[in-house]
Amino acid sequence: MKTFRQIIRYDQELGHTYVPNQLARLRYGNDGYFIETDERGFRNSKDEVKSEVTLLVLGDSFAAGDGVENHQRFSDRLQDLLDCKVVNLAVSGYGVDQQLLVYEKYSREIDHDYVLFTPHLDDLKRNLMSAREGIDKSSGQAALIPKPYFQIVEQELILQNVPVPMERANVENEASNDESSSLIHRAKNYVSRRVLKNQLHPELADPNSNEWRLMHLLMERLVKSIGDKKLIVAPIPYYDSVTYKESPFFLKEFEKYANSRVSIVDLATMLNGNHSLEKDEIFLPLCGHFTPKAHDLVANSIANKLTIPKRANKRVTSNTSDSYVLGISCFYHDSGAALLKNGKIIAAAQEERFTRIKHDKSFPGNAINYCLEEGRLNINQLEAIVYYDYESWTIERVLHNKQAIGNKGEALWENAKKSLYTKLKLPHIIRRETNYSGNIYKTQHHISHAAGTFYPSPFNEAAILVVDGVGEWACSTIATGSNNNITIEAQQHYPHSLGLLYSAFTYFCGFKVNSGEYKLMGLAPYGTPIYSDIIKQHLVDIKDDGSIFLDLDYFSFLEGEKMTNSRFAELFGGSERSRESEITRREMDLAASIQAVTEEIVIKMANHAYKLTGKKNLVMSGGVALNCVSNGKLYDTTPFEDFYFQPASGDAGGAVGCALNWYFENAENPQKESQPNAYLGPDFSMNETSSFLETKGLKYHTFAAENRASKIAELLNEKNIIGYFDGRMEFGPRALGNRSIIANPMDVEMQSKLNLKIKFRESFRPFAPIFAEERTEQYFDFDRPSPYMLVVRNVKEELLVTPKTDQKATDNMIEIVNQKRSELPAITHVDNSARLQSVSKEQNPRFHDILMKFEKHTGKAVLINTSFNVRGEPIVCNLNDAYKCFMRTNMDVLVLNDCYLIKSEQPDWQEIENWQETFELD
Amino acid sequence: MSHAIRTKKTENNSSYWVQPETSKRYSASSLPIETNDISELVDALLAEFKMTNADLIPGMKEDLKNWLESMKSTELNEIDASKVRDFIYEMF
Repeated sequence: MKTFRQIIRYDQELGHTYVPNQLARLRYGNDGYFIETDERGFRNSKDEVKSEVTLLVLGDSFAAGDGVENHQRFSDRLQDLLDCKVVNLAVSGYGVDQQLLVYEKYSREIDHDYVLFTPHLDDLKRNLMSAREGIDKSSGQAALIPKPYFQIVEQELILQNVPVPMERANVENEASNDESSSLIHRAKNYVSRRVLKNQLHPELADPNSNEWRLMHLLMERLVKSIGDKKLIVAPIPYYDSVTYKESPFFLKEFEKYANSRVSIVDLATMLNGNHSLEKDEIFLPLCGHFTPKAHDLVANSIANKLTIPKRANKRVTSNTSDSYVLGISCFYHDSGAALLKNGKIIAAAQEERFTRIKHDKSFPGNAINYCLEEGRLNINQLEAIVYYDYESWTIERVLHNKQAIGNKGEALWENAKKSLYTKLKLPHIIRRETNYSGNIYKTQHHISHAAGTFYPSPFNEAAILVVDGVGEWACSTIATGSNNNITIEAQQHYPHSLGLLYSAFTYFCGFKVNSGEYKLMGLAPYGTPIYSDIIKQHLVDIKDDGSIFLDLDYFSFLEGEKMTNSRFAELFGGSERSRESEITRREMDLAASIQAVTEEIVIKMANHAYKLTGKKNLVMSGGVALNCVSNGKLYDTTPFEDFYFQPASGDAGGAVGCALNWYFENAENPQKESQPNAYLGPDFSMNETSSFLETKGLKYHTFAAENRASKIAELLNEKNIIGYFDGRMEFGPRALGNRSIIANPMDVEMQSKLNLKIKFRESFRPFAPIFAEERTEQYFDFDRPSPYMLVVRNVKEELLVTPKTDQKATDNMIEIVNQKRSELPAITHVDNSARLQSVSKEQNPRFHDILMKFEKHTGKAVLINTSFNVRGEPIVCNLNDAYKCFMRTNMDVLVLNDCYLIKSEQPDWQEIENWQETFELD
Repeated sequence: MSHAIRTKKTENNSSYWVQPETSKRYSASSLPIETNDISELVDALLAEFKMTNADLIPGMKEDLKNWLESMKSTELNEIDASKVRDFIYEMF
């Protein structure tokens, strides 16, 4: 049972409850289930049930329903069978002591007639404990979770451990998860019972044991507390007791309480009769809790004991006619998933955010689970799953590649076999990993990109330009988008790829292919494009229409060995720069040169797209559309009137596009709807936020609603660096103000400080401004919105100042970076450019408010915005990721929705040595 | 034998753009490749190939058949999806 959410919170009286008002989908095996909680922090659904009779349920994980959804539990099934309202107060991990305390705490405020008490036999052992072993959510390690408990003093129950301590002691043993520990437990019991013929739980067979002595006192107190209401006691036996059909020896101890108000239900005999080892329909295989069928059987057994009338009309459950389509991208550069509801994108996320592995390419099981959570769906409610690649064409391309390289072909084919096989088996993997039985489709790679940028764009008519490394055969595509249709006009095929050409230089300059392209672009302004002519003379033939032909004598990627060869190196004065070594003038000039060539090609391609399509707007996608410097040039060098760049232009964004293309090709009356923003990931309620902070025992402050923005602006003006976490996570590679590190851009040393002390990354890398959209023309040479940080333009001339030294005269990057070039020095790159992100009140009202309050302090509604992570780490996803990143770095303040934390007030941070090595350098 | 990878320029090319096929449906069902029968799977793959001339088909059919047979039926379960990389990039 896995979730990225906080679902349990600390409670000083009860030890823990669920986080109130929570809806979470927990991954469970190859499926998942929802838990929904009420305002008190118990698993009760929001459906309003009207009845004159109310029944409270007390119990542990069996009654709480671990492994099943709320509506499948015996408590909710009772509500379906009988004319009563059921309030479930059971919580996973509770002992009877906690069940008693819950009852005493809430019985007065919840008017009720019946109490259903369902102690599991294991609870008798828990009653003796002051802490229970569990997995700490933050650390992932086994820990002892403190709980309240009772001691017997002179036959009286004395409550201990309240307020319950927050500190969780580590368990020395290796962390185990529920699934494996459950299996080990079962194996041990099999040996004990079958081989050694032992009584499985001898201590519980002895009525004078400590377990029973305490249990009786707890029972007596519960019976007394319940007063004249009806109590139904339904003890739940151990899994192994049912497996070996042990007689319910324990019932006689409960039957001592039976009278006209208290009745006992023998579930054990009923479960023994229904259990079969060959086909276990009673216990869930992974965790050993009740199956939905077992919950039904239990509900029926209990219903027979109750005198409540049967429900006359079946409760109506909502039946949706909405159409849901799930898009998936995986096994390329970044995997992700996206969910459409009636053609509208309602959720999208990259897998890396959940697994914490940068550019994770694996099957996006966590991202899918999140999408289903957002849609309140189970997997088989989907109309279709679509993935974004014709695997047959990719296989075909590799076979042709094999032919093309002669005797090196066999080695290439051997290397490619396994990954191609996995791509080929993606439909099988989808079914295996998600339990999905519906229809699966695929969309061409470049069409996925095209649909992913055209349909969410604000235009009904547009030229579409897709440029990336390679997808199946295509390396660049020009298409026409017209209302609900996309038509391909022209393509360039592998290996003549602008994306691969740029990646070749990324590799040669010592950066990682498929992530370091961004660094190369940031490095370019430090250099002079002295190699551009060499590139055009030897490496790439560029036609006037932007089509290209690579001279393959200089590249090695066809052989699958590396990107470039010795002939390439000879052109540029020696071999490639090794990773993490010093960046020299050569790399700066190479970066400038390939950037200039790239811009020339993209501009020519865009102009050709204009000619082919006749459209006034251009939309772009594919990895090359993340080159925001070339994007910025298109405004001045092409006849297009307006532009749209998909914020998730990389491969993760293909998940959106493949689903959209399928929808527009198959829906009866598809409706095009523009994407208002990129905030498509999970958010975390204030209940969850405060539960997280209180469970960890952290000191925090809560903003007053009216001065949240003012307070943040004040902290920024005092030069604090803030980790800012608010609302839904962004989809795409950029942090756009909801998972961002923000700071004052007027501080000349802020760029170096952020790079070296916060991000732990190369000092040359520039930072982007985030500013109020209505101030765009005051600060920049630009006159329209740039909401996705995908356009680079110059800082307004009036704001520029002359640097003290000539940057071209020195190779010292720190010296260059720390030159003041404008009144916004920390966001002004060495060529006076900036990577723009505008924020409108409609797009992100809370961030816009901060900018306007900051303007009151400084006269400028602009901040530094960099992604909330350190080098090599994916952008933070959840509250725990944010807190961890905050504590590991030199940030001063952490904002978590409506709360904020001051670094100096936090407890000492315990960290593993060399934690940065847990992130692979990008 | 004519593979479709253009490794050398031809003279007097004014453009390297190519015209696509006329189909306007760009999504397809995955059902044909969900078969576990290797012969059927090979035929399904070849039926989708779009750049392969007839003279290459017999050799590719052989390659595909040998490849799929060499992948044991259990191998899919052994594949750790997190380790899968696009072969062009995985060396870097």
